[in-house]
Amino acid sequence: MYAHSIVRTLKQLRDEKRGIHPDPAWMLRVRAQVQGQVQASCAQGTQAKVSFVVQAWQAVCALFPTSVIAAIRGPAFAVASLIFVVLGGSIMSVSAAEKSLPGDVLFSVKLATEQTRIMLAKTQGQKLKLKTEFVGRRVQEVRDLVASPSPDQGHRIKAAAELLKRDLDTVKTQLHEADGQVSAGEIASAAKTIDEQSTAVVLVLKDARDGMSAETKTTMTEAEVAAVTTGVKAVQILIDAHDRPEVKDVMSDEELLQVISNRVQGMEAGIADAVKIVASSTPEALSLSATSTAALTGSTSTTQEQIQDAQTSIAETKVMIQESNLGELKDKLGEVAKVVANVEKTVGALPATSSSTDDGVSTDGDGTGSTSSTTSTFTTSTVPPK
Amino acid sequence: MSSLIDQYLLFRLRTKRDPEAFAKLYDRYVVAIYRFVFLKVSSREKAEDLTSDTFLKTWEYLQKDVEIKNIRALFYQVARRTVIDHYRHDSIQRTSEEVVTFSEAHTSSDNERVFSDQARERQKIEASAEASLLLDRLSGLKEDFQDVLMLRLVNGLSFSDIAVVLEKTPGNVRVIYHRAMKALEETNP
Repeated sequence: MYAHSIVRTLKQLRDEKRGIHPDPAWMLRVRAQVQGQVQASCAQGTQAKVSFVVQAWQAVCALFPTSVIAAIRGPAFAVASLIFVVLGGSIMSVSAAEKSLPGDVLFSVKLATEQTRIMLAKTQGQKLKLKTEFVGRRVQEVRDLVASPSPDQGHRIKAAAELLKRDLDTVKTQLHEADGQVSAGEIASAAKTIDEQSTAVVLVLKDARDGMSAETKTTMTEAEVAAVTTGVKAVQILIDAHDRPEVKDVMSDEELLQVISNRVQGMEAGIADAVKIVASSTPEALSLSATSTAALTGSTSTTQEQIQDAQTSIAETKVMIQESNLGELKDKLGEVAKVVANVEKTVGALPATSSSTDDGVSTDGDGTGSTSSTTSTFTTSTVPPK
Repeated sequence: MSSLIDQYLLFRLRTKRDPEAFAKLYDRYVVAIYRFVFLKVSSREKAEDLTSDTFLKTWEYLQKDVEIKNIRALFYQVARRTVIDHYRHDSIQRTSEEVVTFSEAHTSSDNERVFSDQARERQKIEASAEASLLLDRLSGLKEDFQDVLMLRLVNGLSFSDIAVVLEKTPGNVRVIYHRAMKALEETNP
């Protein structure tokens, strides 16, 4: 008998009609018996709860041959490790960057994260809220830098002040853009926060000013001016929206008048400081300063005339506050802020020796002495909000 | 595909403790296991009892949480051991009369034997007298040769599955298979 014949003949035993088959009744009987036994065992056994991961792994092991699992286990583990390192590293880097300060290696990561968050914000209101939050961060960064002396403290504070000014300018622009696009309540809430932030900025910069170089002080003064103009813009928005019902929940008329009053008092104190500085300056210095700032401001008036204009405007504003004349206060505040900013720039350009609020000699962050040429009219005059 | 279904049912059984999964495994393999056992014991009753035992023992084994790679091979492995235990513990000696001898049963004058289960099963395949003769010749071969040929040709297992059942290497099983075929060819009818 040949092999192929043997194979064919034995395979016939599998044939459904002619092959060997058990009794169907017996098959059903045994099936029920086996199933009963299995059910009884399953009911008795208390199986520990298996986690999804273990179940998934068991499913993979069950459905794929061992050789395949062995082949992919190594690369899969490597890829998983890589993902863990990349994602974990990124998360840790961003987390570490959140605590970084200007001048730190990771600070650029912090700024990039902030930019990304702003880009991902859907509405103008969200963007404004985020930017306001970031101004708060900048203020805190200046505080932290002042509190932690380091060889390059001056440069780092200057960088922080520049960023602060930039962010304040952005907030001011966004406040302008958001007006009309965002609900009155939302924008009033943001404006209130910005007003508080701008006041905090001035106070922080005042504390940080001592011992800084002339260059750093100039930057800080610019940041202060930006803070004041941004604060004024915020107050103007609050005035615009004050008669809307949803804004009443954010700020009452009395509170608004108090905010305006604080803002005006701050500017008034700044002008008073400017008067002292001008009084101690030589006529030549004043003339030089007025000439140099005239090109920048477009104003041909002298420093004394600018101060007089500012004082007049402030006096008129105070009368409006007493009369609760919110309608005219908005424009008047803008006018006062502009005049005071001109004074600030002019006085800021005076030589340091003429300053009554500055001893004229400051120390750089690196400890080297240098002559200060900049002062601020806002530094001693800002009244914090109630 | 068949292996995937087995693995899925085994997975259900292990993780979900689904009795129906084992019932489905029973449905898939009961006929093949019965055929395998029957060809070894040549008695319907014994084959039914041993087949039933095979499934119950397999279930007991599965509860031990041992890694199972091939449930089909496991069924055959348990069935083979059950048959061996049957002969060993019940002191049943496989005499020449008890060995599957279809041709002899067919020609026997003993009424009991004629109407035995073996004979009835043989009648089922009487259309193939050639198969009866072949099984008779097969029964004269060594145990290993019989097992390999039956598992390979009657039950259609792969060499690797047979290796699991017989606890040998696939290469070894191939060698046994070719020797068994040669031995069967050389056996005179």
